[in-house]
Amino acid sequence: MFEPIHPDAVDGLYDIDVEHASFGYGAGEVLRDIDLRIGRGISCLLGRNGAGKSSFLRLLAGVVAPDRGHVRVAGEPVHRSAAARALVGYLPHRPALYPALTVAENLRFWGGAQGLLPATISLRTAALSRWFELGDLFGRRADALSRGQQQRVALVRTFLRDSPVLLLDEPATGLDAASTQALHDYLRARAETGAVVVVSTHDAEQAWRLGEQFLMVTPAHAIESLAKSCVDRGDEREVELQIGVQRAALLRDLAVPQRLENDRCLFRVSGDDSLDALVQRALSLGMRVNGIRPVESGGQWLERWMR
Amino acid sequence: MTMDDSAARAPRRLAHAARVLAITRLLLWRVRREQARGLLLAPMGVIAMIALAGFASAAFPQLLTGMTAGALRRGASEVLHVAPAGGGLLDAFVALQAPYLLATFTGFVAASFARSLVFADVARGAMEVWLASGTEIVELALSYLAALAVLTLATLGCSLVALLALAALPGSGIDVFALLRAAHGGDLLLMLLCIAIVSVEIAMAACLLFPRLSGAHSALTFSPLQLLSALPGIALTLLVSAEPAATRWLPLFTLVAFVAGAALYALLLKRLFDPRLYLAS
Repeated sequence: MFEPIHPDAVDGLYDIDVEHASFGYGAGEVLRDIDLRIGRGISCLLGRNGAGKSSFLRLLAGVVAPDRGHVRVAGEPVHRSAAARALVGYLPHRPALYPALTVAENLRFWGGAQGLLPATISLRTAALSRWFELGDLFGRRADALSRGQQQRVALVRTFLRDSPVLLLDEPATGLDAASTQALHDYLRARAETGAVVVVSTHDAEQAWRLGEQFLMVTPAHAIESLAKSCVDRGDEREVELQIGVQRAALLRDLAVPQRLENDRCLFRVSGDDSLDALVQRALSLGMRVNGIRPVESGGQWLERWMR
Repeated sequence: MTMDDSAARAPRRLAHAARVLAITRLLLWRVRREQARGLLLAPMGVIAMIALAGFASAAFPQLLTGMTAGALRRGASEVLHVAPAGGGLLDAFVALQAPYLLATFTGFVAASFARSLVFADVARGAMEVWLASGTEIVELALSYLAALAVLTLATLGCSLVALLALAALPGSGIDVFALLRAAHGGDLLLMLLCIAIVSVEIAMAACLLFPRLSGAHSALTFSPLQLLSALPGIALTLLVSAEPAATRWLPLFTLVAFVAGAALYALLLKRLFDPRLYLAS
């Protein structure tokens, strides 16, 4: 489905550069002095409701112009260059389908609006509809679809042009688990070919699973950026053992039991040495270790970061 | 501007024009798919209303209100120089009232098309998709304008042909060609074309500049957008009812209004439409 291009060949080619950009609607400033570069891979845009995530994506897509500063895609000011905007696949928050048209007609219309030839639209639609399971929806009117089905059609419309820059505003809205997984797999596959993908979401767990880079719109209208590899969630871990109440006391000198449910007990330890000691003792006493995990999940860490 | 500048701009302008044409075709294709029945119903509704009014004015002149009755009698005697009774009243209606009623209905039709074509895109969030697809706001505005003009003029043309055909029916007692000559049919056609375009310009500007007003439904028969678009037609109808002889200079007046509207669009197009108006914050 994707062109066999080595990602290094396009490294930096489609980067998004935001240079001291500010933006607002009327008197209210939504984004203030944003200065960052978004490279290839998947970046998740986080923030509370109304923080300015959608406005930031609109700026990146060139739908609106910044009040101050510049936004460049592939080196071109995106709101002034139709060529730069043609590199962008943008999914707005609403599906924006025509209710009285069928799914096939909607895709034909929007493919034409993007300057695609009918043959290209057919080919791309066929490939994408397998990925997003649109097969039986083509002849149905858009107003007869559920919200999740409409979102799948909107996603296919966004990916029709095979754009190297993808800007998606809450793309998993209304999707079930299988469709969300298909979307994540698709985005990872695109990112592997060197695409720049920015996904806005308020679901921190989902962002942690999908993203390599996190962007957060702060209450001060700024954007903070962080790579997943730089996230330090500490060395505190939770160890779950299959033991009863009385046997838990045998480990009390090594770690404090946190929770006891039926025959399972959670211990919290800090540092690798303490973890090793606890696991060794538990195994030597014939206890079963059900799992070891960080005390704080990635999503929880992101939620704490957002606060 | 140097020769090189204009040489460089020429292909760009050509590309813009080609894009406007392509988007216009797409918009028309969409309207045809979305409201095939509505496209037929609009001219049929217009024809039925005007034919009914014409029939009533000839068959039951006592039903006409003071202003309309006076306008028809004065029009028949002062403009058409025929007897102000029976067939003369019908002639006066066809030549002096029907074109202006048609102009008013054309305003309503332009508003309806603008609502389903332009306002629907604003309300549904499709403007974002358009703008992100590489389409310039100016290209989009011109395409909306062109598509609206095609639809409105097609409806006007169909209504006009059907009305003339009705008037030319053997039983109507109207000599259509003689009547058109007496009433300066060419001028009336010019007036209708100009007023249709002016209505289209008003409807589209209202949809893009005042999306909330355009989306407002009215508890009355007509929405604010329809009233706004039909305003030129209503004004002309009232004017010609008050002073039937005004029909001689009204075509020139509408031509001036059309040229002024087109010039205003050309001057302000780039500054007039701000995408922020169509996006929720």
